[in-house]
Amino acid sequence: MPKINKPDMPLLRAKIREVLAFAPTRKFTEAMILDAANRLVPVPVALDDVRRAIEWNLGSGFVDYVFNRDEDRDEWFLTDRGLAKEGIK
Amino acid sequence: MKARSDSKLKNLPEERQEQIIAWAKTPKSETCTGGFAYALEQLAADGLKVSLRSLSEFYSWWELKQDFSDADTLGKFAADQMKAFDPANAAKAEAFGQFIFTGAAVRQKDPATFVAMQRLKLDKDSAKTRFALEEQKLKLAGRRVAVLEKKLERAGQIVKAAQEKGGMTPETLARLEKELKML
Repeated sequence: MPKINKPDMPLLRAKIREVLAFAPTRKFTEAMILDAANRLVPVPVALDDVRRAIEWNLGSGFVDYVFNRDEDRDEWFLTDRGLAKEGIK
Repeated sequence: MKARSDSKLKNLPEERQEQIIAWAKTPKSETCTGGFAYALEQLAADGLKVSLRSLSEFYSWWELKQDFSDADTLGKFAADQMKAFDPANAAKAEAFGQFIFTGAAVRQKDPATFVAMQRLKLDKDSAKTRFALEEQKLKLAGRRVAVLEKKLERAGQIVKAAQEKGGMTPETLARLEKELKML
């Protein structure tokens, strides 16, 4: 059976903050983050991996979200703590 | 701790990063190896040794950054124009800017992302019959992607034309809104 490469979770958590830092005043959907993570991480990243990494960042106070009622989805952004972590003033 | 070599590239000044990307995009010719091989040669000549993998990761990172930066600029411009047109409704203008950002950022990736965004909505409802119905909708959404891309491209052209003329008139804003409503 072929070995399945899993993403390095600490790396993925950092990559998610890096993606949100590309446009720090904007909000990102899960699909946008998933797509971006797959462009930045050398192994395939699944939606569950992204959700776990987002939740870790949420628990650490680096990211937060708003619920978009019109689109029925959460949209994510960097908090002040997340901005500081990414070196953004 | 030793810095990752793609981090070294990411920390270079913006103009230097653009130069590396230009090297990587250089086509192969009789006198030039072109592509990543050429970029690695040039970096080595400048005393910066990086691996092919690091260069490849830097290239992906830079392109993604550009995509989001372009989408953000477009969103800011659209919001500013909306504010100028209707100063009393700043919140709506910001929402419009976010809408333009999301549409532009997704457009610059691939049609599969459009479908993925729709698919994520389904995660909240696991009923099998509903899923089957939504699958049909997704297939239809997939076919609509090409049409949506054209419409967004058209909206982008209107914004660009307005930028070149120094700003939007009420007429161009109306045209832009008309294009976007078709989404």
